[in-house]
Amino acid sequence: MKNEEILKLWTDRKLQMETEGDFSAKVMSRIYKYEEQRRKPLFNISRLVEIATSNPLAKAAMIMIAAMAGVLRVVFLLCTFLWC
Amino acid sequence: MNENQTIAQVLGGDVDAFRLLVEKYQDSIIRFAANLLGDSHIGEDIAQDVFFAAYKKLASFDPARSNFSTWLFSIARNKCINEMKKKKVISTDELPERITAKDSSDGLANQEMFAELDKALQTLPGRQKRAFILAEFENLPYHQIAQIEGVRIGTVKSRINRAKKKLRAVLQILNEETT
Repeated sequence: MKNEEILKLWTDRKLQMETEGDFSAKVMSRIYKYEEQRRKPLFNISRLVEIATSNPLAKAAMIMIAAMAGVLRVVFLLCTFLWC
Repeated sequence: MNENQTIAQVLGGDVDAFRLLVEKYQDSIIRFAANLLGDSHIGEDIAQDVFFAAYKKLASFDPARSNFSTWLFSIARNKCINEMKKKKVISTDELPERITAKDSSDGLANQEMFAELDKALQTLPGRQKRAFILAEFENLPYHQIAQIEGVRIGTVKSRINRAKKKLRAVLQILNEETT
């Protein structure tokens, strides 16, 4: 068989490649999830908790704020004790 | 309903209408990614990413600049290039010097020839491989490939010719080994 014929057969075979039947369903389910997330209001308590717990940066920020509040409280208590 | 109407419908909030576009182009995009990356599973995952990305930035699609399939193939091209960078898919200017036939005395069956051609395709430089796949497997016209690749038609033609020359050289080696 000539090289050109083999190349032609090979490219024809490529065109016959079958795809999975549920491909579009997979894509659409990803899109529905994305839309669901996008349409959720940003500023409700449960959404903020969700963001804070899923994002490492938000978690770190929350810990920092809590630590700073703790330090300020100790400083305030010490100052009050010393001035009295 | 034509494609632009479907796109307008999706942009208007009808998410389900996007399914029509996915079903129309899924075979081409999966095939393109699978052939470019040399792996049908990764190809399918990339194709999913392509459609998802297309959905997210559908508002930026301008029918005056290109048709939808060109735009979609451009996204697929970029996703595949990124994937190849991640996976460091082998892409060199050199073809393997010799390809060993499994049973040179009986000659290679077509399937074996095809397998060797598949391997040879993966050794082509990315630009040649993309141009070849779009032209020969997807039957896209040269001007559309030029738009996807962002180059001139002449460049596309020369890339395809170089790819074909290398693949013919592989077939020549295989034929010599079987005789």
